[in-house]
Amino acid sequence: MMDIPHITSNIIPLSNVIKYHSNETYNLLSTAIENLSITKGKESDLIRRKNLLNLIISIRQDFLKIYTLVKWSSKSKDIGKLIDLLNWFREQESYFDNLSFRLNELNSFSGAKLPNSDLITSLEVIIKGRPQLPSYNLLHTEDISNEKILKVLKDLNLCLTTRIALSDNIPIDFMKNYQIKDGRIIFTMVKNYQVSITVGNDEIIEDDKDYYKSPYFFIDFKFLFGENFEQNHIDVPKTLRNKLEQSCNQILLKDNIEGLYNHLNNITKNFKYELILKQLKNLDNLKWKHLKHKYTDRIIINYWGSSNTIEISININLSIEYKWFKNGEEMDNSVLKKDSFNDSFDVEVLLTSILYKHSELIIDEIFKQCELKDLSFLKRISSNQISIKDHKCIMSIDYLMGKFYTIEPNSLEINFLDKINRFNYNNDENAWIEMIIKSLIDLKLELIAKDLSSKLITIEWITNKIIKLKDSEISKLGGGDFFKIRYFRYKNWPSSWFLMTLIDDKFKVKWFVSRIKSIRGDWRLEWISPLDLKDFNTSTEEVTEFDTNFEFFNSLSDSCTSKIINNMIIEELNVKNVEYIDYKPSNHKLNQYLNDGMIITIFNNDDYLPVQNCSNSIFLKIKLLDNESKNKVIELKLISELKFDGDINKIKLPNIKIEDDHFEIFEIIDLDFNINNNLKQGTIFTRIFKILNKFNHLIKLLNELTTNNIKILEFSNIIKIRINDVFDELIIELPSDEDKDANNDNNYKLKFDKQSNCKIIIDFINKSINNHKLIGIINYLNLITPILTSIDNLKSSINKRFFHTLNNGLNKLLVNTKFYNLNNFELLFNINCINPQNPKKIVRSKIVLNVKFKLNNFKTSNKLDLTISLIDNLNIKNIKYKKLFELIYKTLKVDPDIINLNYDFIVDNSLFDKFLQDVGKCFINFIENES
Amino acid sequence: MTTTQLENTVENKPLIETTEQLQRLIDDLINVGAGIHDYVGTQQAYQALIHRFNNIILELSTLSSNNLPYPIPIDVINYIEDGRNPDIYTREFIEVNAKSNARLKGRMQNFGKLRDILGDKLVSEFPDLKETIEGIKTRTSN
Repeated sequence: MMDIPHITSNIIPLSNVIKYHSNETYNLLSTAIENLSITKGKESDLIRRKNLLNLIISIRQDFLKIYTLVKWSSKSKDIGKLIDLLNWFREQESYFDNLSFRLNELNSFSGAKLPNSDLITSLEVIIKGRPQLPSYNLLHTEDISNEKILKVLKDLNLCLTTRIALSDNIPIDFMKNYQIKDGRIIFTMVKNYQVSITVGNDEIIEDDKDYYKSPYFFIDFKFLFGENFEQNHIDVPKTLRNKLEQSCNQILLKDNIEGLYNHLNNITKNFKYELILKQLKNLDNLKWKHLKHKYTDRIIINYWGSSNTIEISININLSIEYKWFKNGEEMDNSVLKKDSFNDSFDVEVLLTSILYKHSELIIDEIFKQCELKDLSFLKRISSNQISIKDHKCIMSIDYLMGKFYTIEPNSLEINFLDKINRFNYNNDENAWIEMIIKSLIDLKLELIAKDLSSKLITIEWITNKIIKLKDSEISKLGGGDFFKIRYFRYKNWPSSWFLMTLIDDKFKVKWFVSRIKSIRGDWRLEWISPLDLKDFNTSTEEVTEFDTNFEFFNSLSDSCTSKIINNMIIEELNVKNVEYIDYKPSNHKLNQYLNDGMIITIFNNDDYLPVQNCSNSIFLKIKLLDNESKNKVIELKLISELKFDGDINKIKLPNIKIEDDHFEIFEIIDLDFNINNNLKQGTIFTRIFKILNKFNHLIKLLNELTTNNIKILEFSNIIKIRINDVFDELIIELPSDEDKDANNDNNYKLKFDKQSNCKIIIDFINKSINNHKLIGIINYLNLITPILTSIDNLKSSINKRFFHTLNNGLNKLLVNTKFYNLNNFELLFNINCINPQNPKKIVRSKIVLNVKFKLNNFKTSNKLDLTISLIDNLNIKNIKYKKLFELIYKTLKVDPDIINLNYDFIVDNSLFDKFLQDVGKCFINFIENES
Repeated sequence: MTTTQLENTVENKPLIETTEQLQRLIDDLINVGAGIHDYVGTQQAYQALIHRFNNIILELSTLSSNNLPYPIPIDVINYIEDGRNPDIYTREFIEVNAKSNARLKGRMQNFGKLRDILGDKLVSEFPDLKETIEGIKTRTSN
């Protein structure tokens, strides 16, 4: 016998309990007693005693419990045994519990039944077709005989035929084409699909209500089209096939054949969409990368941008249809000549034909628009290719992208392509076409301009790309809506002169010679003149356009230069206020005209030459000299008639040729030098007119001299004349060419070599020469000559007769003259005498006779009188000469021709000599009396 | 059998001694309590109190040095702590043991009967198993 296991957990020996309590009590007591000493004074004695008493009581309570425990302990060993026993009982009970569970588990051996052919198994076989038992195929079943099969099939055929015949709900499409054989009905939808169904028994259903009793079962399905909708058959995809039987059977059960028809139609439709999408997906990614498509209830393909779409849909008859929306507008499919897809459907073929047709329509439209605008510069190369006439570049539309391209384009064409291909034409293709036409026109203009430029550059013209004329200025040129302007300069032209070529919207080139200036950043057309056809074409035929051949370009610079020179001539003549008649021969090229000598008739209204010596017209002949050096040289000639009595041949001037009856002033001008170095107006004629002016001056001078019978001693570069005996050789100095005031008519100078009073007078004359004509000067000289002679006579007589000198050799009387101006001079009588108080000192006195010319109004002739005034001597110093003055007055009053007015005497010019002699005598008498 | 009296047996001797010690201790505690309650602060009272405390400590020391190898289940300590009679615990324990014993006996007898019946049935159904079943019967019966 096995011992019962002893339990020790949760059991404590009694001594441990007592020991623990004793220790605990001791600790409590010692703590309490210690507390007594600590709380002494803090708490009342009563409380302290009460606390201690409470502790003692609680300890006693505890020990009472211990006492009880100790008493109970006498039975503790028996109780220990009972504990072990109870533990063992419980263990045994748990074994019995387990046994019960095990026994209960025996019930779960439900599979452990024997397969007797009982009633329940039989039911199972009927319901589920076979018993729920594992079969090990140990029993052999007999094959169904062919006869049986055939019989069943025949029965089925018969049953199906009857059912079809009795049913009213079979769709027409199915009824059109079905076949009953091999125990099934085969419905065929031509080019779409074929489906076979059958029934599970030979029950004949006459009413749809009873259909559930024997529904049809799905047997087989196949599509009757290939991958590209051709005649081949495509396999039903595995995923579809897997679902098809179940879905068809469900539908057949519920909705009979009608439901099947709809269901299969849907499947076929979706499958066809899938095939088209697959075709789209399989399109060459690189080639068709710009194509976008989406599939909602139909397939929408976008090409060339959003506005162009192709819609592919499958209609109710399951055939594929498409709609083409070009530029948002539905197109008639007949334009494609591809209406239906009977044999096969290829998305790529459809796309290619539509896109190609679209390209073709764009080109068609371009031509149509051009025709409307009467533009015929385009040439159609093929259905989607155009080119500009006379230009080799062919522009084609890339039907894949709807963009234009050319092969090996030049920079102009690249610009053109860039412009039209970047044009964003949202839903407005017409705007694009409009823009293409504009760009094509622009390109054509550019091409012509480029061609012209290169031709001009080859022959040393220089293009200018800086000039930007304002529209208002350009509109003056009449270029139309589209035009191109190019600016050129010839190498030695002044900077403001330009040749302008304008190509207008009819692609005709217009040529202009112009002067353009930039004024504060604004380019301004100062002058413009079209090149004249006549300048290039001497034939009499009417020509409307320049024949831009070699000859044209060869003569272009000459023509333009001629044009410029012509303009300069006219302009300069206008600036100089020259009245002229421009003589232009008709049917004559301008440059030819200039080369031969162009003649302008200048109207001479006494401004240029005195009319009496000359005609009233002066011919200005301008001729371009074509010398060896490339510089343009102009020969200018001024020719006119000359009528002159005197010896005109005496006039000898450079650049003037004088014949008997006409004269010629000639000048040769280096035009390049003049134009390039002197941009001021008046570069051509300044010098020749200066020469003319000088000639005019000389003629006038000569006229004056001859009409006044002045003897001309010499008349060439130096003019020498003789006026009288005194002025026997007076030189007239003409202004030199370099003299800046050459325009001044009278700016000559008189020159007199002899040193005398005459010289002083000549100096005065030269100073005031601007106010006097030569004849006046000569008159004056004639007038003053006797006066000068008289003064000289007085001087010589006094100086001769008055040998009276002072001790120091000084003359007692001296006469001098002092000229203030041409009208006023003084006669100074200096009287020297010895101071009576101081004989060493000499006293000098001065008696002044102021002489002026005066016009006597009472006299009929215009002869001048002389006024001699003594008023300047009226001072206190001259009191000592009282006798002298009395003598003078006394002497002069005797003469009745001398008029005395107070201190003045008025004397006729002819009496001046006598007057002077009288006055001289008075002085001599006075001096002699004094001494 | 109650705990009011301890039989004077050899086995109980240490317990009787211990109870006597405890009785003295409790008396001393009462005396100390009375001393404290009546403490007047005189030297005589103080000395008496000291003497009594010393007695208590001496008795505590004696108590803790006792060797008492009696197994005490904690449940009994809890019983006494709660102020309940430990004899009730004793009685309940005995009753539980008696009940368990009776039930176990019943189950043993019933399962023995089931074994016999099942064995007999199996032998009648599967006569081949008779020996084995008999073997089991012998091994599992008293």
